[in-house]
Amino acid sequence: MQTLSIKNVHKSFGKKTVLNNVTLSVSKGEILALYGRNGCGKSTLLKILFGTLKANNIELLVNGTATTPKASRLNKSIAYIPQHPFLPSSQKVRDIIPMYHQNQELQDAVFYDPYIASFTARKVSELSLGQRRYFEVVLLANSSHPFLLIDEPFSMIEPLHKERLKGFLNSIKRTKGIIITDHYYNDVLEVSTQNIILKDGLINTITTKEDLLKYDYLKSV
Amino acid sequence: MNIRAHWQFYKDCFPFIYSFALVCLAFVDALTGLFILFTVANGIGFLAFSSLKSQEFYFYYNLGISKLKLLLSLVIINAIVGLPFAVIFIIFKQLFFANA
Repeated sequence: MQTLSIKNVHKSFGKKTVLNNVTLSVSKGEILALYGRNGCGKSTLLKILFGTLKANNIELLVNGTATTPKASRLNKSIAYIPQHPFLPSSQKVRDIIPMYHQNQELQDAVFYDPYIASFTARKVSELSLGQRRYFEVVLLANSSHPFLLIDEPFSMIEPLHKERLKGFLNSIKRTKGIIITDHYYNDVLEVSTQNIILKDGLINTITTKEDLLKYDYLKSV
Repeated sequence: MNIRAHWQFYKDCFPFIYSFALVCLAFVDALTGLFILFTVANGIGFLAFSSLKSQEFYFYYNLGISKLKLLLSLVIINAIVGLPFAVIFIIFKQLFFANA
């Protein structure tokens, strides 16, 4: 079983501790949902895991082997879809696919996705937010990375795109270990297999929607 | 090596590199301008990309390409692309401005 584990992640910005000995793990076949209020450190944790932000302390294990976030990024163990657009905006969708996938079969999997096929001739800058999000997720989900970090995939996209994205995430669940953060908790709960919340730098397990109340994430369910 | 991705990065930095080199040409002689094109302008292009399109670094990170590799490929591709331009420029200068 492929597993990504982090232990004792500590991150402070000056005197403010954002992550206080955070420990979690995700295995292939799981979608771990990470909730938390704005500024609680969700995106910080994902960036630390991807190696684009340094932690004060981190122990990272990929399939039981100790490594560093930067090394796992460079050897393509972990992919990260940030919440802001990251694909070259001047490029057409059909030109980006071969940059990510040299293998023809994988190219076709993205190219002939029933939805993506309808906008391959368009530039990334011309896509709607929902189209772009869906394309980003499909592009990276078809890559070789066993673990995928997705920051706010459901934010600001229309309901039809959300449904499509949820369907896709459920379909790739078997082949990837995914960590997802979003404030659209109802959508995330539909696809997640484990749920945790970050509060005051600490991780707490969520089993029901009512637990989100307990940790002051919601005022009412 | 993912040549398409490195070429894409160069294309995105190209306007910054050449704009800077052309502006410099207004203040320095031609050979110094070419020297700037192959050296400092690369750094300026990289810095401009870092400032204006920093989010797009994630596109390359997901391909397993580090910033250092991007900078190195930028220098190499700029040398390859700029060399014919430099040769034509020098020949043109010798032919038409040799006595200037």
